[in-house]
Amino acid sequence: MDMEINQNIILIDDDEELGYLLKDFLSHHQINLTIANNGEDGIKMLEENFSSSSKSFALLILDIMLPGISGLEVLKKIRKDSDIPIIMLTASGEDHDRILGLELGADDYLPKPFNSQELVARINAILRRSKNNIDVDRRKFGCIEISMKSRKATYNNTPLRLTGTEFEILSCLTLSQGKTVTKDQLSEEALGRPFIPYDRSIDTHISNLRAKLKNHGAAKELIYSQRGIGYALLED
Amino acid sequence: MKNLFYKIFISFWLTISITVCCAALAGYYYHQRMEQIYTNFEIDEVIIKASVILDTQGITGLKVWLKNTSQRNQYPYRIFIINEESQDILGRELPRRIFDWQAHFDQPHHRRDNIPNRPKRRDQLPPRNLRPTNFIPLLIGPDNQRYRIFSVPTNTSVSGYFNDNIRWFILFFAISLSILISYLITRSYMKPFRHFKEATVAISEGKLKTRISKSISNRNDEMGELGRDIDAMTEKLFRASENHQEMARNISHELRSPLSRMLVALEIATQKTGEKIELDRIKGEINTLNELIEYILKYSKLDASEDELPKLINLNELIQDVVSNINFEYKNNKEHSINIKINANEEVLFEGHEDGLRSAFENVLRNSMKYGPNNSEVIFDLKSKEDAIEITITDAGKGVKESDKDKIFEPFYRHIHGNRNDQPSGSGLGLAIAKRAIEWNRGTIEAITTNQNFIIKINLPKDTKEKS
Repeated sequence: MDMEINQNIILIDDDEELGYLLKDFLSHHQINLTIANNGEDGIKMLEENFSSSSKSFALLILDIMLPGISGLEVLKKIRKDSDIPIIMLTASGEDHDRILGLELGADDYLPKPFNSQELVARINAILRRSKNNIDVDRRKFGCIEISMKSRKATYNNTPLRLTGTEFEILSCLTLSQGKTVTKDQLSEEALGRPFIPYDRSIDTHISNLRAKLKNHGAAKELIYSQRGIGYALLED
Repeated sequence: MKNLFYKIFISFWLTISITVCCAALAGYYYHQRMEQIYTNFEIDEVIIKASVILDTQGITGLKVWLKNTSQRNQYPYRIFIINEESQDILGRELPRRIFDWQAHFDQPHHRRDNIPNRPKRRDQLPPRNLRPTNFIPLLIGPDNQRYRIFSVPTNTSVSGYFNDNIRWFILFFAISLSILISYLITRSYMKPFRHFKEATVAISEGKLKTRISKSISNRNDEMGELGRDIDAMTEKLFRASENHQEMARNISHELRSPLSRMLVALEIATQKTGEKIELDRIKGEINTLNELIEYILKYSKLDASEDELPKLINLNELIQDVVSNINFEYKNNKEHSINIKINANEEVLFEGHEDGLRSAFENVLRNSMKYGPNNSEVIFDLKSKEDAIEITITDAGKGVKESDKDKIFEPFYRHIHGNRNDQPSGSGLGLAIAKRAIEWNRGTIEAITTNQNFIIKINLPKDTKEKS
């Protein structure tokens, strides 16, 4: 792992004990964890962080079950003005919350109780992907144009507002130039982990992407789904 | 206010009293009519006709005419023409009344007992001073034979007041009208019941947001009362079910929080001590506990999702999806490799709850994968039959005892008798979840053990909505 020293990450979770344990655990992996015990505090800390920019958070870990304003509410508020990578902590079995979370712009999720090693792996995968070595800066397919350096995507020359994961998926599809990309590949590229069965994350991210592209006038079938295999871009 | 009671009471009372009044009226009318016929009996026209015929055509002509008239029922009475031997010229049997008349008018001093052929009657002679003024017309035939004409009102002559067609029409009209009125009254009483039935069926299917329609529950009678009671009951059920779900969610959250902390603490301990075997063992147990919580949550949630409307599901695709997920789970398991084969010749659609069916198929299939011997085959069979969709999952495992084959669908049943497998494993909820999920979809599930195979058979109903 070629991590720089001390990544700053913020955790919003009402379980204080868990926070301290995680802080301890993550410190062994060069991750500096800041803890907020409720949604309001978390949002305040993030806002201060955006404005100060001295010690910026690279990632947010967000528990969906929060007292007061709910995790999904927090997610909505944060996504309004930030594309900070977000990993949700959910109680498994609550598929509804999970899918809603992904639709609201979370990048990945981890069901509680989670394996801490797995958490570290996910954090690293998401942090690493934005620092991928880029051989080609600009990719183009049909009306979609992607700039890897500035991490910006445009459709018909109008910029698209994408989250990190959505951007990764779109750039992956653009790179393949209309060939089918399997869900496994997409999961590796965009989430930094292999595809697991029962996982609807990729599908949800794809449907978010479709919705955003549609807002810019693209057809729904622009991202074509091959059932059970994966997705491909169609030339319009 | 016992409104309905009075309604039923009054309608019964009305029906009975109207019937009684009508019967009395009809009786009275019949009596009047009879009297009218007996008293105002005009026979002139007939007599004149008869005498003309007797004059011109003789006795044979008269016989023909009389026969025709009586056959045609032309008059509201029967006409008898009697010769001197007191015989009807057509040889018909004479009504007793004619004997009486003869006795009175013709032979007033003759003892009536002597009249030949007269049927015996208990009452004896009329008073001597009674002399009715009616006369009996006498016809003299060409051969100087004397004939008397009598007329007797027929039974039909009373109702014959109307002709035959009108009579049938009135009968028909009366029957249909009474059927119609009874139908309307009954329907107006039964209508709320039908509504109640629909509502209770919906409630029993778990649609706890069902409410009795305002037009009934706002009524002031027992129906309205019943409607409001049903609503109150449903509301309570709804709240209980909400609480139950909320409770399950809270329990799972509260149980999972310490599990999460345990796991993190365990990782730290592993890092610090380097100890592996025991700590991994603990980790495994934590995961088992977590799985169990998930199953319980799923089990308690299965019949509670009333908001979810049934959708049209392509079973082929669903099964394909489930199988590929399970294959993925077993991909790296080299010690236990089982091939899953799908037999589905046609596309089968079903209207139901996809989540439920998915977890049913998953749990049954996982069960078969677990207990099927290494290097065997599991066959997933999908068939659309005339009245049901039949799905069978067959593995080559040992199966269970006949007496246990229903128990395996009970929560936390473990085949401790060693029939299915020697060591109990798993959550003990998989098949219970499957059963509950299938029942949620109005289907049935059963286990069959044969010599070589263990089969789970699932039947899903074909008509998607059987009621109304």
